[in-house]
Amino acid sequence: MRRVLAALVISSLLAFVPEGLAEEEVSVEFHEGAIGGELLAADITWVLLAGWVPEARVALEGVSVPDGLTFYNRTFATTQGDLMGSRLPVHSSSEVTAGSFSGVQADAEGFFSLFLKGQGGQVLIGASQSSLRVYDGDSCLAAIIEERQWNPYLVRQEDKCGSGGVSLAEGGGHVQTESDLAFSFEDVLSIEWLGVRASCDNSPNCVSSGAVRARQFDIPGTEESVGTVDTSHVAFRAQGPAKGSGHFSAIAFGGPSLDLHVDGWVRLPLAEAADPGCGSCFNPENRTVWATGELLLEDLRPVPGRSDRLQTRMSGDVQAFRLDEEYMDPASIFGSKAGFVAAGAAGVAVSWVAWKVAAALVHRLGAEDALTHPRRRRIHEYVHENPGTTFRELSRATGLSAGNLRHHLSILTRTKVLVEHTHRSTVRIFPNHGRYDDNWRSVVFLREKPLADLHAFVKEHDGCSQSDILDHFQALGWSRSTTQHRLLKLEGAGLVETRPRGRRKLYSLASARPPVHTLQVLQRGLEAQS
Amino acid sequence: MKIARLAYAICAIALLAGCSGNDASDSPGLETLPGTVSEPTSPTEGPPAPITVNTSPFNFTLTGCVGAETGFTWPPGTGPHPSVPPGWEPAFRLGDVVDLEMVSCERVAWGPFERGPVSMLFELHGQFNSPTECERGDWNRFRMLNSWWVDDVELAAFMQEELALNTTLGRLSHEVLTVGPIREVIWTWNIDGHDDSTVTFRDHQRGPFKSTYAHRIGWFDESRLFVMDMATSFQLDMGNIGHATGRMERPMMYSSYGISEYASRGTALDSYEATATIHPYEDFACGES
Repeated sequence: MRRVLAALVISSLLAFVPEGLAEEEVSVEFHEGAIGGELLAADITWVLLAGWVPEARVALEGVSVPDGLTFYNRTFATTQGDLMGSRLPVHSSSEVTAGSFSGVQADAEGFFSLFLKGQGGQVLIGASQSSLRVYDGDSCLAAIIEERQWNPYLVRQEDKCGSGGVSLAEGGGHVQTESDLAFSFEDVLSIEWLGVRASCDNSPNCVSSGAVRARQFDIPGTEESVGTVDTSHVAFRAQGPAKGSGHFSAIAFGGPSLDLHVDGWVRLPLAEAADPGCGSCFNPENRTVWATGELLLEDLRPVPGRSDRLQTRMSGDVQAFRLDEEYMDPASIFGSKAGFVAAGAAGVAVSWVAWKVAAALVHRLGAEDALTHPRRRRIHEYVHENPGTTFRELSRATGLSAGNLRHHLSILTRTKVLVEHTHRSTVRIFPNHGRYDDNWRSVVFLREKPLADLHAFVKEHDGCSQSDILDHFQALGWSRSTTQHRLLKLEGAGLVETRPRGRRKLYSLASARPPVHTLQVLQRGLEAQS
Repeated sequence: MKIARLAYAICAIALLAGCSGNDASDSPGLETLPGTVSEPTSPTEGPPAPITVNTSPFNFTLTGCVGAETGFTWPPGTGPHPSVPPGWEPAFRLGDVVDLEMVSCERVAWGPFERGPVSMLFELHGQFNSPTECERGDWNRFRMLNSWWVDDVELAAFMQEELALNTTLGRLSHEVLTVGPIREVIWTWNIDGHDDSTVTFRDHQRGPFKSTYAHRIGWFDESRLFVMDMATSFQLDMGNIGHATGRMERPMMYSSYGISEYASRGTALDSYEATATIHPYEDFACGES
């Protein structure tokens, strides 16, 4: 099944040969940098999510807890008044172990933190601006998330992320609630949370939450007070796949080696060729790489023995490229418009990774979520007004590059907002509200202005003969053979039908006609084009 | 819902307590994405690009830096009197703090600039009483800018023009000496017509201690206020705050009473990185942006 799916995906990708898609990749190493835009990340081994505003929320489904779980109870105290900002240390800690559960569903709103560790993890984030960092096993969270903000509201930070790798962090002390999020793990190994409601498939005594209690005490005779926060963290070994989605205030995730698909920009400071011995390879020579577009950073990992440098293979639909302050033609770095087919297996593999991540995650997004993105709204509006549009027309109309459009279109089709149909060598895009399910081929034909004109003539002259039609359009400059060919097209598409009368052929609209609404929309579209 | 309410209550307490100052709507927090404009304001002409990379003047990143910081607290009422925005006059003075933060970075990404090495020095003070609205958000220390030194002429002009920054185009340098188990990091800076200012930081090379610090730094002109949140990460000598000694010459605030000799706390900072977002306001109370 997976092979079939892969074949389908690759063939569908090959059907869209994006203009400008890079045919080459460059291997670079660079100082810790940053990325921004829509982000798909694959091969993550841990993720930490946190929320601290009402809009933040997360839902998690389907994990099993084979060995029970552990509560970590802690109390933190803070002060205000003249001592504002002082934080007192943890003054209590205890651990309680409870039973085991299966099929845990969990969700949280507003104030929470959730840490998952596992294998085959993937994250999809809407708008993002993330820092790229090297981490070691002891400091993966402390080093990337400013402690003053997160402690004491986070799950425990010790021993979280394994033996080092590359991490991305976004949000930190600053709210990012506009960011959509979806994530999944093929196999979760452990989970820890705080402020999360949970339910279980087959256990009435399911863990309820990491409890949170806040209190405030005024200090008599002063204007000062002390606030305490009691938290009960819940931690457990888990197994099986898990998926989640939501909005976050902050996120951090990472792994030993990641594949990133960025629809936005990257800044890779102080970059150099990953293989300095390769004389013909692209070498930024210690300059900073800035790039925008649909970018792929494959096998992103720390440079061995360096605590602040990363390496990756970079490719993609690069729209702008800069080395320090010098703008360069992306084609001079990544090759010309040879595109996907010429890119060979490597290019397919890279995009396949990105697509696979998207496919695995976007089904978690509902149609409403999918349309929260302004670019997707723009695509949807255009398709609604121009049903049956082609990929290239849509790219031109929305101003999106082929790569960007393919990315957003994938989400809109996976969330069933739009639907794609193959018509000859083109793909036609329609709203997926059912109106075009049966007649989309007719709509496609009638998007061609000559066919639409011909169709309109037959409609206005019901029962007209072929010679009437040929004469009429010959006067407009069409050759008789062209008109006959177009009539055959309409007939073949079932849009017109003929009946013989003596030696003549009389034409009428076919009984199964596109609905009035469709024709009106098409007419408006054609008028706009003309 | 009870849990959610409880959570918001916790956040409220945390905000009041200053340990989690975070406000979605009112805070001058970081922007989500840098802005993009169609044309760079130069510095380097190149082939036309269909889309340019980040050129917002309101975000910058410092990469591959070394730095140092030192501060001097004058006895109450004896220190210099830097100007403050209207309404920010301090009600009383516990001690007049003047701080210096200096960095030398392999790369600075700011607006259309991506260049290096660039050195900077922030001269800061704490003699103000900021409006409550300006204190929202998450930061470790809030100070006002007296001067911002930079050794790149184009960057200095950009900062002045785009952000009304009181930039000083100066010469800055640093060198590292090893004296037995002691490391000396010597920073020197000056402008034409004035003697060198120099401060030596000493530490023990005992291995790095990773840390982060969130600066909030404000400045203003006749009608506008700018508030910058600069998140920094760096390594210290085992977290120790050491000594800094040297001379401060004009136009540094410290030397405004004719005193040059300088001795105070201070520390060198290794593996220094910073990202900053600047919030412009049309009033002095962080109300209208």
